Amino acid sequence: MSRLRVGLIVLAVGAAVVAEGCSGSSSSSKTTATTTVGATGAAQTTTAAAQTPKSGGTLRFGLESDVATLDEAQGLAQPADKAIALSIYDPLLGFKPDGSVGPYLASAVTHSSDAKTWTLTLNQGITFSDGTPFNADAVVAHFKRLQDPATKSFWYTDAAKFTVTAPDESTVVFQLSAPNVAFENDIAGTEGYIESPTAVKAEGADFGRKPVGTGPFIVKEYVTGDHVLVTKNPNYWRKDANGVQLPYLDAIRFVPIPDTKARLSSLQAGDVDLIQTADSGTVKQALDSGLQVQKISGSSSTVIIFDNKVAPVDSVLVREALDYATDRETINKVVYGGVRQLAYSAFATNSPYYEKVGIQTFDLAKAKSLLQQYGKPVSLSLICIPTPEGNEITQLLQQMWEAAGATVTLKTEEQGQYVTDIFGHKPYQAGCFRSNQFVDPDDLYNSYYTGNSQNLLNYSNPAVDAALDKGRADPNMSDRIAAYRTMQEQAAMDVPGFPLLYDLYANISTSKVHGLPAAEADSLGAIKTVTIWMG
Amino acid sequence: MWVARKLVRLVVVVFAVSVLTFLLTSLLPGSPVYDILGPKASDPVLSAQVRHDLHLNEPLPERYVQWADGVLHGNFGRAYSSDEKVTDVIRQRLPVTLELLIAAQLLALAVAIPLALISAYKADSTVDRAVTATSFGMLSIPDFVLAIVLVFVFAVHLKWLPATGYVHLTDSITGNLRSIALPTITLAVPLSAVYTRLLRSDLISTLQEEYILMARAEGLPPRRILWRHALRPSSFSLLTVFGINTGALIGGTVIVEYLFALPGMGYRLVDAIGRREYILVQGLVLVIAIGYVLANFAVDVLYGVIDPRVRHG
Amino acid sequence: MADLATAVDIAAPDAARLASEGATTRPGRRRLGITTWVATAWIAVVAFAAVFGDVLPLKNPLKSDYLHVAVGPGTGGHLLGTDEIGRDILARLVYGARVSLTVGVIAVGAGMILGGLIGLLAGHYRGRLEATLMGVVDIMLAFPALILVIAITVFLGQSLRNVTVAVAVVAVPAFARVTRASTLSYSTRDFVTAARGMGATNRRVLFREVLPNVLLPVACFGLVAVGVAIIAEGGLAFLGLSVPPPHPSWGSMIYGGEPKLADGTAPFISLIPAAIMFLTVLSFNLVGDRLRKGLDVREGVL
Repeated sequence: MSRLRVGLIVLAVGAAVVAEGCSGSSSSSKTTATTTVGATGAAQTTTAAAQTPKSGGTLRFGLESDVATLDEAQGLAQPADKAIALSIYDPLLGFKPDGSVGPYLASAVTHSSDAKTWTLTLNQGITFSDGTPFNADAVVAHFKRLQDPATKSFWYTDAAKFTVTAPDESTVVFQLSAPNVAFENDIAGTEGYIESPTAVKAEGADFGRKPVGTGPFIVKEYVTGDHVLVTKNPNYWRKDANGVQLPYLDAIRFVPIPDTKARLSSLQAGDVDLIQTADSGTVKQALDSGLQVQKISGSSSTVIIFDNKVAPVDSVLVREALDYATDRETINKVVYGGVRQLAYSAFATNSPYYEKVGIQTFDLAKAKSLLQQYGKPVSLSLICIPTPEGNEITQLLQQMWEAAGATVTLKTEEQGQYVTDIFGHKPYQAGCFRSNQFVDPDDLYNSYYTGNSQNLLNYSNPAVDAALDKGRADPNMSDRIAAYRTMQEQAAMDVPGFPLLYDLYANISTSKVHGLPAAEADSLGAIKTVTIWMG
Repeated sequence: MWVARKLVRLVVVVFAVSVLTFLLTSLLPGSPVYDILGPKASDPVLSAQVRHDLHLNEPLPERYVQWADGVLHGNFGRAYSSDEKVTDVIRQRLPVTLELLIAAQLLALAVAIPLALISAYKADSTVDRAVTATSFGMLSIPDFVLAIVLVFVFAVHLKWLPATGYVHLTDSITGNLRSIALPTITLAVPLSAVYTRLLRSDLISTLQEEYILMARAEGLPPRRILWRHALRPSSFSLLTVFGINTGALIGGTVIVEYLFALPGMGYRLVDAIGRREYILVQGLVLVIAIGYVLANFAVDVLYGVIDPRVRHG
Repeated sequence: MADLATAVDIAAPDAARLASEGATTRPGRRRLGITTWVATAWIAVVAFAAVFGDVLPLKNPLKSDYLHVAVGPGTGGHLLGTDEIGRDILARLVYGARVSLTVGVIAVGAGMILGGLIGLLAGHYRGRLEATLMGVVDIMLAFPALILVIAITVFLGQSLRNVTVAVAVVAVPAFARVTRASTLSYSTRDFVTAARGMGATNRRVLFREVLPNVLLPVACFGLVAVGVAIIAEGGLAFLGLSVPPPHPSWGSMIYGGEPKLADGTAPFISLIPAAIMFLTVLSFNLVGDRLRKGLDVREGVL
């Protein structure tokens, strides 16, 4: 039942992009990393250079939910899962602060001019924590496992789009069935976390309970709902700038504390040293009480989705009206204490494709006139998963939309049921969703393309389809940006759905904790733990 | 034989509960396929794989028989999304629930017995009235309200005790006791109110019996009379209810476990219902039902041993 | 839901004992104390509010006052303050009473009628009928009650009607047990044997002699059960399974205000409805117990 309490589900589906052609200067937004660090944090980064990291100690990390499995083939989408995964696995490629992809397990990545053949060169001398050598065979085995239907991997459909071979021990070649300029982004995420093939073979169905990767820590104890204890990997391949062996910490004890307030209380009581949270109230309280707060905004947002095929939301007049009737500032103030930011675009703020598009203005008069223009009485239902925060938002939205003249019925559906219905394309009218912001627009393809199974909005616009096709295949970066700008502007005029506010994630810690890295793009606040030290 | 009949009844009830659970979970709307695969559920190959693994294509009775057969051999199956063995889940979660249950019952008795003794001895006095009033109050507080108020006072404000979380006995005894303190109190409050009332009522009638009056006439000190002569014959109702509650509490700790984030059976069960983990639900409900039925059986047998008239009931 | 099981297990032997000792149905010589009067008055007030809520001069329970969000009692024209998104608490309490009392009274009433009938038949006719009926009852009781309620609400969806149905379903076996215990004792008493001897049919005996006497102990249990049902609705709201928003219920008001209780910024949002729920349940318990005291010839069942 923690799921009823924990926020809305996170699914890799694009949010609607609402338009108003305001071509954002992508260069300036590029420098704004997705991490805005609180006051103490800024000081922290400067002193980090001055202070020498100390080795040793056990970090106690409070997570927001239980972790069902640590098998990376299962997606590990929740912030809690990601936090642990980032400690025990390494990705093939990493994200740089500006959002572009850089080396990690792989030292270099190149692609053919038609973007269909990709070649990875792997770092040498790395081993998994069970002693198995990390090499091209291991990488191939990993992707073959994702492609096997018996694994029921979260990445199954993505992995089906390419074949992978190992011409030699340190080279891996991917052959894609269709050109994809952004392929490197795909394998820089969880899809590219490499697990030990010997461990998979040995453990079979138990692998999710006894995972083995190349990461800085090794799983020592895993008791569902209670804790996960990881200890330092003595043979970890990375060293810091001064040549000191990483990681600094001896061990990390991950403790799921689903109740939001309890998580903060535990930190304040000294039961844990670091917590993750998606609750703005917690952030506000932490800031007030002087704890170290690392705020991460812009990696996901709460959005309102419409079924574009069902009346009355099949009319753009109605959808636009509802957007104008939504007073985001009030929602921000009442529900979040003013802590959050308005969301624009489906892209993360540090993505090169980010455009500041969107209506985002509250204009009740305009909303009323649009509905009058529509002519017929407007009555719709809004479905959400019942959580305290979700309830507050939907009840506010109901009042706001009714002020414009619509009649709104609130429905709640339990998470499992909601997932089933939405992805089963059962007709709905309006619904709540939590959606990831993307660094690369190819992820939007499935969400906006006419007829695609992941197009939950049932949205269809041939101009958008054309722009998506162009953007995906065109290797020229500026042409891509232009294509996606067209796509965003066009989609924005249709208002197939709209975002509300960026979710605010935070990693909050006591002053003993140092070395928190920037959050990964679209990681929902999860961070790598390899550089953390205590002292 | 009377005991044998009761045993047969027990087995029938447990069997019926398992069938009922099976039907209930199978008829719940929402297919586990979507829960497990999420957005990838639209892929026909994957969803066929899931359906095959879950035996969803086979008829209901056959699926039940497969499961039942497994259970009789000690194999309760695996939870689908986490691949955990159900028996492992039970082994991890049941002790937590049992510890909470036993602690709550003991605390309730520890409070109820002295209160009832004082109250019955000084029936209708101010003390008695105060105890009665408090008992009523304790019975009327909703458990979730009590929980959040206790957390507010003891964890957030005074910071004496942790708000949530569970520390195993093997890790730290003080840590364990601290982590179950608030949940135990939450459960024990209504229990102790009930036990106080029951015991008091029976004590009052026992105290009117002739042999008690004789003991008093003989000059025996009141404390001795109460403890030695009055308490035991008055414990009948209390023990009955105590026993039945032990069984009922195995499934009845859900809200407390949820509010205090204790890794017990109830919490996991509710979570499993939400995730459509029907194999897990089957196994957990079975264990809860067995616990309840066994506790009732034990009470019935005790009843029958003490009062032979009941056997013919 | 250990509360319901506990309530059953006190009530059943009590009901049987009362029956077997030939309690009169007239209240004893004790006067009704002031506590009982106050409790009855409170129940009347709550019932009045539930029934006549629409007519009372209250603010709109569904409308947010953005200028006064989570303000304390007495501010901005809100007698009891406003909740976490600015809606008047007093108005929501009144409308919430409707939900709590509907679930309490109707679910328990339905449980009493259906369960009572089962228990009556089982206790009176005995034999195979009793064995079958009580067998079914045992199975229903062995099924963890809260789980059953959760499953029903998940299955049927969230609404006032479905919550009521769920609680009623759980109440049926409880009432069956209590009624049977009571019936058993009465059925074996002399006046019943006498009636049979005079040629009355079993059915006649049941409805004329046994039923009127069984009604009172069962009614006492019923009053206590209303309290349990009100708490049950609250618990369901806390798990997010009661009436859907924005309709107020005491349980969902407590749930919605909990974040602001835990961080201390506006504890009254949860505590006011919690207090109201407490007083209401307490009143039902007190009245139910007074009824029982009135029946009992012994010193004090309390």
